[in-house]
Amino acid sequence: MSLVALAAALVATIGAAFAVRTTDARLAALATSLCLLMAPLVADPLPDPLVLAIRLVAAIVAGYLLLLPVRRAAPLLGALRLGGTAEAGFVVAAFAVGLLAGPVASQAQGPATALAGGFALLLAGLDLLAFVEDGVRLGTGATLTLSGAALVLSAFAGTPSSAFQAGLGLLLVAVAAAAAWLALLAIGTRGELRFGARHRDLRDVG
Amino acid sequence: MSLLLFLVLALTGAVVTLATARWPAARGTLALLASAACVVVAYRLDAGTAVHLGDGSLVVTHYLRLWLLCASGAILLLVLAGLLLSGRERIAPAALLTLAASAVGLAAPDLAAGLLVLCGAAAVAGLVAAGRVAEGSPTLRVAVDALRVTVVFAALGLLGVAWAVEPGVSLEPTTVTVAYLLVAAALALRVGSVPLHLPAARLAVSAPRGAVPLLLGWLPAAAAVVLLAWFSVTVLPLQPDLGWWPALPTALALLTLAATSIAILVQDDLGHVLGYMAIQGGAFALLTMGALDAAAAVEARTWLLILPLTLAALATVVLLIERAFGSGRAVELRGWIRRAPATAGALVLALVATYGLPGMAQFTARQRIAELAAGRPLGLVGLLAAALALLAWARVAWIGLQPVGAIVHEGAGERPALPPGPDQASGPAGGPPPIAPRLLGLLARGRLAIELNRVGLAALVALALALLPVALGIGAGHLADAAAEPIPTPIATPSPSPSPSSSPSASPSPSISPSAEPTAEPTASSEPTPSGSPGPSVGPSETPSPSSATPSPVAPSPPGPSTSPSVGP
Repeated sequence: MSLVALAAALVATIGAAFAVRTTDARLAALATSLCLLMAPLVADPLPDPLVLAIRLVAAIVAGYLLLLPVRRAAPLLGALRLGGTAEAGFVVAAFAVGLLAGPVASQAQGPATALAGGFALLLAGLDLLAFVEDGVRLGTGATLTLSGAALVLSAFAGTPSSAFQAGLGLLLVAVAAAAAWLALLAIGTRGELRFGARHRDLRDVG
Repeated sequence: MSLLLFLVLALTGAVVTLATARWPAARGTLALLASAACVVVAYRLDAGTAVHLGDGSLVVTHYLRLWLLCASGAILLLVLAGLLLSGRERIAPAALLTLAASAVGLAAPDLAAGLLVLCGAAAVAGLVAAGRVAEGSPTLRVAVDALRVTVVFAALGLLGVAWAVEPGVSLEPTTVTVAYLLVAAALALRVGSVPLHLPAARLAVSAPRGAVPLLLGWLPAAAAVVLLAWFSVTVLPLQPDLGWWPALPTALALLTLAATSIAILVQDDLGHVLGYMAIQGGAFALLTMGALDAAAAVEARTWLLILPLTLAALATVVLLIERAFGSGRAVELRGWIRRAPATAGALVLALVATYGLPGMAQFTARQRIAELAAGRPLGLVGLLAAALALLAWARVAWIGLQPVGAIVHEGAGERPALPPGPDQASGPAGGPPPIAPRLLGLLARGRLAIELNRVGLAALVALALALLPVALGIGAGHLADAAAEPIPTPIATPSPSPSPSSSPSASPSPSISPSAEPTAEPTASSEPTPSGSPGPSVGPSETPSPSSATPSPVAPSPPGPSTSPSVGP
């Protein structure tokens, strides 16, 4: 087991748990950036320096984009459904499950730490994606979900190709940009980061 | 011409049209120019070539060329229709970005990477739906849900591919089943199958009409083509025993066919009808997953190119009706056909293109997919259930044939109108006027003529859009052959006699089957490159690609998508 991969997976998991736990949008965006920075290092062998650079730039740009709306609105957000702490605990538990399941996964070609980090980021991302009502944490959830899924893929298929890494970098930036734009629209129309009431009736749309 | 040039044009066009949003006239002109340039370059693309970017590559196949040509043409006509009807251009950046993403997504042998690029484009293009957000408007939530769907789809797709990324390796049945179910779930979410249809249905109503073919047509169809390609080269060669699990996507797809028909029948708003037509068309992709048959996958590639074209035509017709008469509700459109016969013709052609007639490619594709997935009796029942939607369109037509109602009477019809005659100006000595004022006068009359005939001209555009899928269906472009050509994959398999100069049109295209899998993309070290650019290229280079030019009849090992460098080029 590579120590670099293990350390990177641990840091990414702690970052994801913090992103779930915090109610400050700025800290959530920074924690997400940290996760995105650590995710490409959870590999054995490590990707090419060029690929690492691409992912590094993508992580920084995505984090910057997520911070943009916070400058124009109050950064304090509501807690998640279970209060955040419990959900952060689930994220750490997912890491442990991945770490234990990695060696026994019959098809796995990558490190067990990738599966552990992938599970943790996936859980945190899906949690945020499903339950948050604001643009910053929507972007946080979306990018964590995608990074987690990519880590699970690398756990089964080994270190991804350069094309895949470049595509993932593009996708992370695109998703962060889309979430930031939606957050700015929410600020422009409602004066806050939250999106507002959910409309269930199709007749209300349009 | 090179795929790289196409990408540069499309991306530059997207950026420029986005940057000129404050100048509608300039933006409209630039959008038309960029789309037209994409059409020309797509037409001139050489199938069988590859563009190398670093250690990756993009392979141009006949199917990709046809896809880009059709998409560029449809986007050009959509932009033109939007300009004619509203005087403003709203979809060009998203449309051109969609073109670029489709080019990369469908040309990348690394299917997972292609999927990611398509999802990135979908995430950004989905913002079009939030373009007219106002206080209290639900369109923001619709755009948020669209982003959520895109992200979850990408995650499910990646997870599915992760479980079965090594083709040719004997996988445990449980592993294959999990991968199959994850990819089927991703596909169901992306095409909006029941019960996951609400985001797509809401998107169809809240997005600008011109953007509906992009958001519910081109992008989901391209993503479905990529996922089905993975399915064809990774799962199908294993001939897996998945138990009763394939019945699940089949049942969902059949349910979608029936439920969307019912929704279309009870809906009065043409925007909703358009959305459910898109969802119904996408159900055939999910049905393909249930078929577990290579032939169904080939038919799905045929159908997934025709579907966005038919949606583009239908969206233009709906936009025309809404703009001309100020209403999209069927009950308020009494006599619309009397005022807009060309639009009615476009609607009929679009419906013929959607459902097809016996002998047309779309008819065959839908029928074969349904029969291969659900068997003959049940498949035919599904097709009949889908065709029930035609009753709703028949009702719209019947209302249109009634005497003209008040709303339609006040609207703008297609009747041609001529601008007033030119002033009888004369030159200084009573001779003919100078050439410059005459030209300016002609230009002004031309602009006035366009202004007076916006609806009629847009109806002609709609007719042209509807003719595209009909032409494809009756054999133009050899769509069926292009759909059956091998799928480029990154697995390097030895080719006994590579002949880069030949093209698939010269040699019969083999169908996708477990025993006749495509050869690999050219590897820099092993494949001959007549252009003399072998070796790991730093910059982009273009070489003939034997992957689509000379598919080997029997591949030693079935290729598939892989993200591992150990099996990459």
